[in-house]
Amino acid sequence: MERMATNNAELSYQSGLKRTIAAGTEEEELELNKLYDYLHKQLSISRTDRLGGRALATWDPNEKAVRVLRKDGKFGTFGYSHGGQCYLENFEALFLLEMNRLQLEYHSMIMSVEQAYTLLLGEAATTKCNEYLVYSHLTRVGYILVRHQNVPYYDNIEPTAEDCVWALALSAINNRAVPENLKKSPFFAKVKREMKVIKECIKNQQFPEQKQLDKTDSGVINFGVKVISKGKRKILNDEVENPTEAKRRCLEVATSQKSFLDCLKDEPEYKQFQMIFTKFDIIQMDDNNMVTDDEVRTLPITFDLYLHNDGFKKSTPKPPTFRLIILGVHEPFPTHAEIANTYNLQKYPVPLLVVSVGESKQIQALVYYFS
Amino acid sequence: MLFTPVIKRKKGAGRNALVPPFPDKHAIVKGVFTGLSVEVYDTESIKAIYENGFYGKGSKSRGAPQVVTRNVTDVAECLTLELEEAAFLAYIFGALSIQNIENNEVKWAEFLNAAQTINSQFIESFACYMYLKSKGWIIKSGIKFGGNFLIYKKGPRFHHASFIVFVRQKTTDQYISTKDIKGLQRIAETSDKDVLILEVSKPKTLTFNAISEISTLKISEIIVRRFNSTTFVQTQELAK
Repeated sequence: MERMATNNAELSYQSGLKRTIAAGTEEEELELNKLYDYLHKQLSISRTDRLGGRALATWDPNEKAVRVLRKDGKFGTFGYSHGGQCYLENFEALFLLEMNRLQLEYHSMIMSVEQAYTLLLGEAATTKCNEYLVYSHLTRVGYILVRHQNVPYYDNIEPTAEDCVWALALSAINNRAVPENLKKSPFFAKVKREMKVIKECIKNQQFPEQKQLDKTDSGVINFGVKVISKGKRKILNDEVENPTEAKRRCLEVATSQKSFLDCLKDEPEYKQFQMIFTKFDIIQMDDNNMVTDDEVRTLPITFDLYLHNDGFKKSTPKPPTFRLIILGVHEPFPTHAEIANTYNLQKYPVPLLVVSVGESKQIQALVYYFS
Repeated sequence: MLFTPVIKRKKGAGRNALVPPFPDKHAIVKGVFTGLSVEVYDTESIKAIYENGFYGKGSKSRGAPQVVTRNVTDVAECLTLELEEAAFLAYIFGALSIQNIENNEVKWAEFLNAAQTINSQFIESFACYMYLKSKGWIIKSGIKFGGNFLIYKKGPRFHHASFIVFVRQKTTDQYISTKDIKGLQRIAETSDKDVLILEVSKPKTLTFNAISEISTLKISEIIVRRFNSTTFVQTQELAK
């Protein structure tokens, strides 16, 4: 009851008209003192908590990381193991601390939240603070964020024939290197031979049914009228049966060197005047394969983002849904070359999200589509 | 994530009417370069230019000139063509002859010079204009949305604009600030459009004595969309 009363009293101070008292006056001081008193009262209410209801961790000065001493409840996606011990990343520890799920000790003394902030984020202004803000925001919303790992996702699984097909297709379309362990796969030579045969068949138009298949493939990129009006992409039959393939294809469309603006080329207006339109087609798209002489800023990828229901496992992570680049307040907006460069540096390309932290610590994510 | 452009049809617009995107090449229209834009005065010419590809804007109207919208001929209104539009119609397509106030014809070099004093990025925005035009978009000025162009499918009478186009030079050291992009994106999102950034790269030494030299310019596209993290995570959960 008492608590509610103080809450209400405080609320009445927070709402209402804007204060217009001049700075430095006696009136203002009175007002401020009142507010400080309320704040003090609010903070000094003793909170009851179950003893041992929180996980216990300590600062390990040798590892410069937070070591978990006792887990409480499901630890889920937090922490990593190192040398037989469970450690928490700094941002994870801080998040758990803020959620009141962790008790952090420093040389067996309990740390306050404030102390933890200085210890874990550092006193100097770094990107760590922005990273933590993004981490805490997106974790609360319901994503799993893991520190970025640039690894190809063939290591944990034995590559199948399908993987070989994809790797070969990627190297043919986008000049991407075929992963080493795929080349060692027993399927690789066979698949390569088969694909060559199929390619010849398509070139010579020997099998009409093969050609048909090829058409549906290119249909994904073709923005038809119907697709646009529904705001959804028509789901192809084989995609329904094979969702992973659909996912892969989406990725490839995101990277293929096609213009986003070609969707009007099926319109009757375009068709009728096609001759004239092609005559004007004198300015081409930048092919980006040319290495520009200007140096390109490399944008660091900070986090990998996973969805909770995607079967995320800490020990055997699958490719993430997105990868995050965090931009500070005054950092310039990434250019095409920068984003393309960062994208291509990924060993397993995943769409990038650019998350900007505003002046008021507001967090906004932007998706990039680039040609 | 697959990108699909937002193309929203306007209510009450005829569906099947085929609008030619170019005026008649053989009837050359006279336009006067005033130092800011190119103006067409003759009523018949205004109709011919505006109704075939939606070029220009009525000087006393918000968009289409009154000659077209209300079919009145007694208004003293001219059709104002943007510099890029005029350059395209005159020097690429050939349906317009640009004259100065003394009735002398304005040649490309002269026009380019004048245009670059008005807009130092004229070459870049003209390249973007050509790039978009060749893909069949109808291009109007994007000044009211804070960009360089607005692009429409078929025309502003039939569809809402799909993109706000922002032209940027690739070689400049100046970056766009993230704050500006967020602002542009907000405007775009409230009006159901997308932000399209066109980065133009041009060779370092270039004089543009002949208009054909414009083909050395290259363009790359970026589309920026806001990622609504809350909605995304919730819809993904439903999808499974």
